[in-house]
Amino acid sequence: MMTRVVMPKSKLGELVGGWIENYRVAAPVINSGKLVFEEIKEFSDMVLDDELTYKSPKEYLFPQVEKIMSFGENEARIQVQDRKTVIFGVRPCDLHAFEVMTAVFTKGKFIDTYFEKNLNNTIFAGMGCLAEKSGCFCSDRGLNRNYSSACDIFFSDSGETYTVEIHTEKGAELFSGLEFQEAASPAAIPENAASGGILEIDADENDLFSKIDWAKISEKCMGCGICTFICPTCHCFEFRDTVEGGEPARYRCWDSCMYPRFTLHASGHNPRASKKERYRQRIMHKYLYVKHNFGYTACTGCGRCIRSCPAGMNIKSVVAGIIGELGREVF
Amino acid sequence: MNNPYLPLKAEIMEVIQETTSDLDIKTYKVKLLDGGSMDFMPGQFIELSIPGVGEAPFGFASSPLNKEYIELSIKRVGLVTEALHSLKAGSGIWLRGPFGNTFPLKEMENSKILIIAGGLGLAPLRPLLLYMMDHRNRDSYGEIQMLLAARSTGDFIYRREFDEWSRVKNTNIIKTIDRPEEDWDGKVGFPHILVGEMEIDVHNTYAVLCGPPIMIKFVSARLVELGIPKGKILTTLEMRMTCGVGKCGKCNIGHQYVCIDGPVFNMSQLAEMPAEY
Repeated sequence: MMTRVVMPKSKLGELVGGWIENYRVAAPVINSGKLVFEEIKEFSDMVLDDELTYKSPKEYLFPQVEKIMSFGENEARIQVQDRKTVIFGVRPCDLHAFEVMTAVFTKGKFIDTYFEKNLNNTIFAGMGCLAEKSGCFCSDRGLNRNYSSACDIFFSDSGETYTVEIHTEKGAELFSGLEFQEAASPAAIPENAASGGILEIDADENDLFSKIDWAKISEKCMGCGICTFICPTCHCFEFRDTVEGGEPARYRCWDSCMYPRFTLHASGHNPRASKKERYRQRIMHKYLYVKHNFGYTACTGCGRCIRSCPAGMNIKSVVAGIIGELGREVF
Repeated sequence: MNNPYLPLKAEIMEVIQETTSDLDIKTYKVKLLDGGSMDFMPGQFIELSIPGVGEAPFGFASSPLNKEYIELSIKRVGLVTEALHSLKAGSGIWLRGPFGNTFPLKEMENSKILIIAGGLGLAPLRPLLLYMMDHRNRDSYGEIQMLLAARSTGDFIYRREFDEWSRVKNTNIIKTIDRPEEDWDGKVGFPHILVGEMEIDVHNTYAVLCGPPIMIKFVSARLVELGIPKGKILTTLEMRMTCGVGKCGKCNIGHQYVCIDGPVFNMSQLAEMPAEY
């Protein structure tokens, strides 16, 4: 299904206000000086500008810390959040990241129950970016910052109005009972900023693994792991057990391939003992392994890791450098 | 679709002390509390939980044909195993699985089998051995030769079963330790040396190795020299595996995940994978 309506911007408050009555609504707000997705109680909590949030909204589907079960006498009880959530203002890069994460968690032999439940309970309301932000390189990653169909509804800024594309039944739910003028003619999808091509590493796994000077590339990296926490596609995790009021419980927590303990065996052996191996894993996982296993390169060009890195590491120039080191043209 | 992270409660029926050395290895006979059987095939593993402490992966060590209980042989080495080793018969533990691929049982039929195991490395090969030595399957496989190595006599696991195993039709065992000991009736020396003294039909043998990484490295190189094709030299790998279902991102070697694409790999596959394990 696909309908397209035109909505005066002045009506957005009424629309979102209606959602707040029926759903949990997450939208960009300012917290401690940073733009982040948080649950809003009133439309006016929302900050609507053309900025990208500091963190992606991935935690609404894959929380940073999530209680996944508690242990009874003879039965483990699962804890699944069952709450319909609208995430409003998700940019095309983050919508694409959810496609990547959905593949990882729900494709293949096993399905991640918790992610799938959250996914089914989420309505994605996307919104295009007007300007490219410092550090962004989504166009080099083949994304259109102005537009995405990977959501339930999508808002395009048309000056005094929003053109809203409704892609799914879930999206239509958000407009039920409301009358908006159907867009007369399909609005032209805004062209993306020009890019010379798509930044990809087209290389043999073993060549990339062994022929690149990973020690040199990762020299500046401090191993703090911030890149993995704010990355919209990073999805690695660890389980942590605890005892709460006499009852054992298990939590799932984000983990990071940048940390030495990530792969540490109980025996003391560590297959990725140094920063060089860990940084290589991060790049190769994003640019090769996920693509091999699920068909997507797991980097959206959102630029968050570039903007957040305390050592000034830049994944775009690292990848471009690797392509050069392999003797290829970047584009 | 079932929640792949949800474990079932099981009860420890018996604890068997395997080693008498400083390496503390115990075998746990375990059955599910609901009476159900845990169907698995040789090579697969489970995730074992001690609630409040954590969860860790372990290879099955018992026969897949045994539907009454499973056995797990576990060294006391980390958080979960430390807690497990304090448990006695009657205690509860939690299990989920089976996970991972299996030894290529069909493909191995009609071939001779060479098992080379070092220390606790015998544990994940025991389901394969017991499966092939079972009277229902024994004639499907050729001669079974075992080269079983341990640092010392006190480090062997399943030593009480060796006599019974060697009485199985067309089966023989060579056992070896690193240094001479009094009253020792086996060999002294490392497997990669001793394997050169064995009569191996290199054109019709599957070799299955498990043990310390250094042993696997030297033995597999020796077997390749002797002429066994890399695709017929099998091993099973260990990794930190939080989820067991290909999601948590810890156990990959290149694009392959040990928990779903492994843990069983042949040397031809390993030669094509980045050396990061």
